[in-house]
Formats: sequence, structure tokens, C-alpha cells
Amino acid sequence: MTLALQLIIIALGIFLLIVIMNAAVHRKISESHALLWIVPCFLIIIGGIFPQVTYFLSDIFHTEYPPAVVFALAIIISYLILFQCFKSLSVLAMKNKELASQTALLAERVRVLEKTVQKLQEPSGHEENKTT
Amino acid sequence: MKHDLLIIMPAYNEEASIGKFLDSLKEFGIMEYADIIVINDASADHTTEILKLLNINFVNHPYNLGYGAALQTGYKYAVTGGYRYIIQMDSDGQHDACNIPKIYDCLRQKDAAGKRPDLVIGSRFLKESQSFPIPFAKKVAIRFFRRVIKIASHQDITDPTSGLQGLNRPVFEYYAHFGNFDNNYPDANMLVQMSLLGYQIKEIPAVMHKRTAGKSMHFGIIEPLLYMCIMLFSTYNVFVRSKWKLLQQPINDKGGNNFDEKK
Repeated sequence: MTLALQLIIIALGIFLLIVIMNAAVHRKISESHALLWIVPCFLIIIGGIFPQVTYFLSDIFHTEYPPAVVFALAIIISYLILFQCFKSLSVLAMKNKELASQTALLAERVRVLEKTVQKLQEPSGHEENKTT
Repeated sequence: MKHDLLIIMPAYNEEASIGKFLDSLKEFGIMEYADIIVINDASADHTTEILKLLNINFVNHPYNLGYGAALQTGYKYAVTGGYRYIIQMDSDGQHDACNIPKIYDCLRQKDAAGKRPDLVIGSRFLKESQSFPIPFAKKVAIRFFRRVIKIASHQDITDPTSGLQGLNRPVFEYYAHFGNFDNNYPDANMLVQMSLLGYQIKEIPAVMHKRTAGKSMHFGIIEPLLYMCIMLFSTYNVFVRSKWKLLQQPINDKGGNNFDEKK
């Protein structure tokens, strides 16, 4: 790996790290979700500083083309993050339906209560009319 | 609102302990000067039935929102109810009822400079505290966060993870506002935030017991470790927000506030 490429990878890792941490500071991503993205950033930076890690891993998995290990790792991590996103999305959709349903029920209860209050107020209104 | 003090108790699956704990509150005569609200965080057991049976005020979450969100619901309830002080405590009986009058008195008492504390923490690690033996890992975590708070806000808080806290109106009004309270993991990060915003934090010795029933929020190995990472990150974020002036400034005057006199 050339020094220029190494520097680009490190710079990219640091840039992504800053973007994610900035988003967390501005409350655009929760801390727990940000951590999911921060870990891969560190992996990118480590991979840039120590490119030998790629060759070491390719030796372990007996791959002829070392970058294939990096691609495989990137796909696995992306897949895991995507799965986490879909999981959160499903739970949020479920919770949203539950909230909508409970809001509708509460609105109905308020409507019934308003009617009852109106009915209770009516007789006193009649009496007032009679006296006038 | 009958009284100016509200006790907020978040509860999640506490059928085994909540009844006994509420009885202890009655024994101590707490209900004579404080209102109680239990935030039932969608318990799957018989917590709701017990609360109905004991005729205790409660708010039911439609689904489990977590400890922080339950506390924030309590703060919102206290704001709309017009309360002046709140004391938040666990409903599992870990926090002894005898702590309530001590915290309440401390919240109302002025110091030599004529200021009242905004936030009172019941600590397990002060001279007169009475507590159960704390596991080594938890002790390490508490010391770690104590150090983090000291670095971030120059304030020495012996028990930053204590859930037993008393807040005055300016504090819970601030917390009740959207975005001002970490409703996922409110812990050391919130103490750093309030300290950096200039609120007065005070600790008093507390009496705490070991949990006898139910399950703790932090159990296992991975979850507490993850929690520590998130808490550290969250505390860092609070610190940066403070430096970058991204924290919403308090509406009420803080630092021993004379909000009582204004009313």
C-alpha cells in the first residue's frame, strides 16, 4: 500500500469520525446509534495506520487477494448496521401504531366526557332561563 | 395538587416490592406532606393492579420507554401539577423512606450565602450513609464517573449513579423540556450538564437497602460495559455542547433560586 493511499484512508476515517461525533453533539443521532458507526471508523483508521493487518487477516482466511478480506469485513459490518436500522424501524413502526391507537381511544374518552359535562351543565342553564 | 412536594417513582415489573415500599411511605407519614405519582413503564406483571388496589396515583406508559423517559414523564406531570419540589426514588425499596424528609428539608434550607441547593443527591458514600455492600465492578464504575464529573465540571460528587434525588422547580422544569434531559441514560451526564449550567448540587448521606426482588437495570457483563461506553460518550457530548453553547439556557434563575419568594 502506498503512503498516499494510507494517508487518504486515515483522513477518511478521521473525517467520518468527526462527522458522526458532531451529529451526536447536535443530537441528530443518539449516543448508542453513534457508537455503532464510531467502531467502523476506528477500524478504518487502524487499517490505514497498520495495513499489515489486511495481510495478516488474509493469511488467516487463506485468501489470495488480501483486499477481499477488507471488502468482506465492510459488507458484514454494513449488513449488521443495516439490520440494526431495520430492527429499530420495525419497533418504531409498531410503537407508532400503538400510540395512534391509544390517542384515538383517548380522543373518544374526551368526547364522551365533554358530552357528559355538557349534559350536567344543561339543567342549570334551563333553571337560569326560567328565573329570567 | 395537594402538597408542594411530589414523589416520583418509576416502576417496571415491581409487583414483588412496590406494595411493601408504598406501605413504608404510609408508615413514615410521607403522604401527609407529599403527593405520590408512580410512572408505570408498561409493566407486564401485576404492578398496575397493586397500584389500583392501594389507590395510588399512577401514569401508565403505553409501552416500555425506559427509566429516563419514565422520569421525564414524572417531571412533566410535576410541571403541569404546579409542584415546587420533587423527590425521585426507585420503587423497588432500595431507597429507604426515611431519606425523603432529609432531602425535602435540604431542598428548602438556605446556606450561609442564602442560597438553596437546586439538586440534592442521596449518597451511599458519605460518612453517615448506610448502604449495602456494593459489587467491586460497580464500585470501579462509580469511581470512574466520579473522576469524569470532577474533570468535566470540577465538582466532587461521591455517588453520581444514585437514583435518589431531590429537585426544585427550576431543575425539573428544565428537565421536562424536550431535548434538555437524556431520556435514555440519565446519569453522570445529567449531573455534569446541570453543574456546567450553574445549578447548585448538594449531596447528603442516604440510607439504602439491597434489592430483594425484581431485576436490576444493569445486569450481566456486556450491558454494563456498553452502558459505561455510552455514558462516557454522552458526558463528553454534554461537555462539548456546553463549550459550544448548544445547551438550552435555563428559563428560571438558578443557584439557590428565590422562586419560592416569587410565588
